[in-house]
Amino acid sequence: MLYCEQLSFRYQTRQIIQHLTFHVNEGEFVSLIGPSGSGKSTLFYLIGGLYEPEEGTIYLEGERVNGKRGLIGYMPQTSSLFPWRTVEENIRLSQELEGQIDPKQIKQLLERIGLSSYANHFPHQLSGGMQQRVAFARTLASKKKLLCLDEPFGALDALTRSEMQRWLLSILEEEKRTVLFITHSVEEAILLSDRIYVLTPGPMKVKKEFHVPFPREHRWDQRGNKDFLELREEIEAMLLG
Amino acid sequence: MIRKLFPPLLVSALFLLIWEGAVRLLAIETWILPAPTQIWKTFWQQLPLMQADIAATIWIALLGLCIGIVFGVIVAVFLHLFPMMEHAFYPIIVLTQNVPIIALAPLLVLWFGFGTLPKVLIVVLVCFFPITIATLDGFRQVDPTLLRYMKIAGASRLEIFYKLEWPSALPSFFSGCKVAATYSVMGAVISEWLGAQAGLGLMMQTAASAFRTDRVFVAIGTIVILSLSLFLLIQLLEEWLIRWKIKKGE
Repeated sequence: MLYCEQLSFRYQTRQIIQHLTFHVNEGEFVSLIGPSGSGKSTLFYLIGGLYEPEEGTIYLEGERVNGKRGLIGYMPQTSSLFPWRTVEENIRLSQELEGQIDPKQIKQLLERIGLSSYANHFPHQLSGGMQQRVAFARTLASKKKLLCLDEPFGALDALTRSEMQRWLLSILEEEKRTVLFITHSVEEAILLSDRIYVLTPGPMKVKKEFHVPFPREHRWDQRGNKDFLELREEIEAMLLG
Repeated sequence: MIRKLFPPLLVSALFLLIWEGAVRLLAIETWILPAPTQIWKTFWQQLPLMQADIAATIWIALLGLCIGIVFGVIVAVFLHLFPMMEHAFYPIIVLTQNVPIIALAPLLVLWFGFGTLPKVLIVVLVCFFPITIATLDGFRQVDPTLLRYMKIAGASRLEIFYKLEWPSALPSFFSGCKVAATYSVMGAVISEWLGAQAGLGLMMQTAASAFRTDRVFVAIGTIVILSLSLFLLIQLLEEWLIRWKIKKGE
């Protein structure tokens, strides 16, 4: 689905990414985990075509997409809703840009994120968690197969955050999508992903790849298990060391 | 609302009281400084005679303001869409504002005569500047996260402009409009000093040369009321159009 081969990128004189290679299979949920400021967002800008890599190639469904825009669904960390658009109009935006509006799907999405009664509210009238749900629905409304989520729950308080993780798990059970997920929470990564790449900062490289062995449907209840905690400790040790 | 209005009203009332008292106690001549009560009396006497003057000034101010808004926005959009142009023209636009209008006005009369055209031109000249500068500023303050979202989603330059940049510049545009609205009446009055058949500027001039200071104050008061009404009109329009804006204290 997505294959990044030997990517390098420098911003002015600072080498941000060096020989980064990783892939995401169709239908998979892959997390990139690394310290803040390690250039994870920059990686998304490369995949999104905002910048061109200095070296290396990005393949999306077998096609070289270096510097090409409009091919992925993208959701930034901070609320990226348009303040002058209502909830419904915000969700519609991604379809407007694709030139195909499907009012039925938008209605379904509103129901699925539990905000049908807020369709005509403006973003500032919603809580942080609700805003991120709308932003996620906007990403889902696009026809893009690969969704790139850049720390979508990073700005939320702990309680809302775990509520949102549970919610995302349930949504993805119904709606099979390929997801590339940036986070710096180890627990969040184990809870949501099939595979995890641990990254090193400055310049960014893959340090290790982990497969998450627990079945998705039971993960929420297995959070406190021995295996779960062991994996968590192992990844944390890797991040620190 | 009443609480917010109370302090400025109190200060104004106090000011008028001191003015009235000073004029009476010091026996100041009416042609030097008329008392507020005197001005009030003259206002009601003059009102039926002033209607043609008020209408003439409003006409020039409104026409100039409307053209100024359209012209100001066109210039702002043009400079924004072509950054090279912004580089070349921005200093020149700032320069036009450093030429004193009073000095420019006789030239405009020389070129375009005593009709409506040079007067409206003066108003346009003072109005377009705050609108262009404010709108350009609004374009520059677009949220970078939203801009990145639009670009990654594959939005075209035109889509980025009318779905993102224009709506986010709208509050700045209205700030510019409010400044321009207050300038427009002033510009109209100055333009009438150069020679007009009617208008508050003309009325002011005639009254001053006849030492009818009370009438000068009546003209000034009327100008203030006109400016304020235009300002409020635009404010109402803004509140109606920008309902999405986060209200203070919400």
